[in-house]
Amino acid sequence: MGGVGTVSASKKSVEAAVAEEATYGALPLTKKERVWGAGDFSWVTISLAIATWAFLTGGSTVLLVGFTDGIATMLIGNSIGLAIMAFGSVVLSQRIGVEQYRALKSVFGIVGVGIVVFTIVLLTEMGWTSLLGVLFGRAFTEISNQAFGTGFDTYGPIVTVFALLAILIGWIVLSRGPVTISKLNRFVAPGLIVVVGFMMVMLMSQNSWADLLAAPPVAPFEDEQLNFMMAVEFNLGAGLSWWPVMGTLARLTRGPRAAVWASWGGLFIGTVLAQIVGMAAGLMLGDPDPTVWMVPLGGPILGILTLLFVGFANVTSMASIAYSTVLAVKQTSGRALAKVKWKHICAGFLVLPAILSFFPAFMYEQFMTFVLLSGAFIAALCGVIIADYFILRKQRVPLRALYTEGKDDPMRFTGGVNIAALVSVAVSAAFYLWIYNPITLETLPLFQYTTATLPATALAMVLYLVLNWLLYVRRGDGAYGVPDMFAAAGRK
Amino acid sequence: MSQNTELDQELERRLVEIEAEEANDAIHAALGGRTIAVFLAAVAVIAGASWAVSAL
Repeated sequence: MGGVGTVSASKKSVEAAVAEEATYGALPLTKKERVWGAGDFSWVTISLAIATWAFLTGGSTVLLVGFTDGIATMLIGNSIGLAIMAFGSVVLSQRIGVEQYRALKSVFGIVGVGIVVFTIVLLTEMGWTSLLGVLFGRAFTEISNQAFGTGFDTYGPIVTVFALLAILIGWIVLSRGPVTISKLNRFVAPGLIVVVGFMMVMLMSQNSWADLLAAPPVAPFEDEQLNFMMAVEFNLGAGLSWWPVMGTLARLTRGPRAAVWASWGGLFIGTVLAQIVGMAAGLMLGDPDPTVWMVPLGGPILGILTLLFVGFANVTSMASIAYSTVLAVKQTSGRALAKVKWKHICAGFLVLPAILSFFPAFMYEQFMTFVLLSGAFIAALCGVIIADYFILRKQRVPLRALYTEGKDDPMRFTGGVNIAALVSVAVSAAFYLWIYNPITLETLPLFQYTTATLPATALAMVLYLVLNWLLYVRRGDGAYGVPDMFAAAGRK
Repeated sequence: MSQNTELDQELERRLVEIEAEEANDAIHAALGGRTIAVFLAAVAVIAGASWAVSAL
C-alpha cells in the first residue's frame, strides 16, 4: 500500500507540476482554457486602468495644461498609445494562445526576448509595482491619521511599512495565479467605477465647474503648444505602459476582436474615468492622490471606506502586472529557474519594489520621467513587433517553432538573437530621446508637431523592415512566409 | 519519468490538440482587415476630434 501511495503521490506531484506549468508557463493554451469573453477581459482591463496610478497620470497632465486641454491630451495620447500597444502585444498572443514573451521569440529570438525582459520589462514593471505599494502605503497611513489621529508623515517610514504589507498581500494573491486575480477583478472593477464617480461628486460638491474650467495649469512652460504636446506625449507613454502585461492576459480570450477591443476600450474607459478625477483634484486641491483629500472631502466613514477599497484595488493591480512579468522572467530564464517554485520567483520579483518602498517620495517625484523613459523603449518595441507580425509575417507565426530549440529552430536568427530587432529598438529609443529628452526636457522643433512616440515607432518599423530583410528574410532565415496553420480559422 | 519529459509530453499533447481540433476554430482567426480599419478609424476619430476641439 505504501508503495502504491508513494507512486500515487509522486504521480500527483508530477501532474501538479504539469498543471502548474500549464497555468503559469509558456505552454500554449487550448480552447477550453481560454476562458475570457470580451466582457470578462473588459472588466480586467477597466480594473487595471482605474487604479490609483491613473489619478497620478491625471494630476501630472494638469501640471502642463488646464482641464479642457487636459481631457483633449488624455484622449489623444491614450487612444493612440493604447492602439499601438494593442497591435504590439495583444493580437499576436491572442491568435496563438501563447504567453507574450514566448510568442515574441518570433520577433526577437529566444535570447533576444530574454534581453528585452531582463532590461526593459523587468525595470518597468518593478517601478510600477513599487509605485502601487507606495500608494497603498499612503492610503493606509492617511486612514490611520484620520481614524486614530496619529499624524504620520505621508512620505515617512509608516508608508514603507504599509507598502511592504501591500507587497506581501500582492505576493499571496500572485501565488494563487490568474484565476484568483480574475475573480478579484470582477468585484474590484465595478466597485472602482462607483468609487471614482463618488470621488468626482465629492470633488465637485466643494468646487464649481466654472472654477475647474478656469483653473490654470499647475506648473506650465511659457510655450502653450509645447505644454500641450508634452501632455500628449505623457499620455502616449501612459497608454504604451500597458505593453508588458497585455499580451499574456489577452491569450486567455476567445477571439481577436474580443481581445483588441476589450484591451483598448477597457483601458481607455478606465483611464479616462480615473484621470478626469485626478485632473480635477490636481487643479482644485493641488494634489491628484485621493489619499490626501478623500477623507477631508468625504468625511471619516465614507472617506476611510473609499480609501480602504482603493488601497486594496492597488493590490489587485499589482498582482495583475506582476503576474505577466514573473511569467516572462520564468520563461526567458531557460533552465536557470526551471525548478524554482512559482511563489519563490514571485517573491524574487518583489524584492526590488520592496527596496524602492523605502524611498516613497522617489517614485512620486520621478513619475513623469519614469513613464516617458519606459514609453521611449516600448514605442520602439511596438514598432518592431508590428512590422514583424503584420507586415513580414502577415499574422502567420509557426506555433511549433516557438518551442523548437537548438539548430533545428527555424527562428534561431543569430545565436538566438534577432540582431535587426534589437538594433532597431535601441536606435529608435535613442531617436525618441533625441526628439524629447524627459530628463532635461529638451525637445527638437519636430516634437511640437509629431510627438516623440510616433516618429520613434515609425522609425522602428522602417529600420526593422530594412535590417531584417538584409540579415534574415532575403536568406530565407527566420521562418518568414510559412503557411498559415490557422488559415481556415474563423471562416464561415 | 522526469518532470521535464512529462512537460514535453504535455506540450506535444497540446500542440497536437490545437493542430487537430482547433485549426479551423474562430478562436485562432487572424485579425481581419475590416476590424483593423474600423479600429483605426475609431482611434483616428477620437484623437482627431479631441485635437480639433482643443484648437477651437
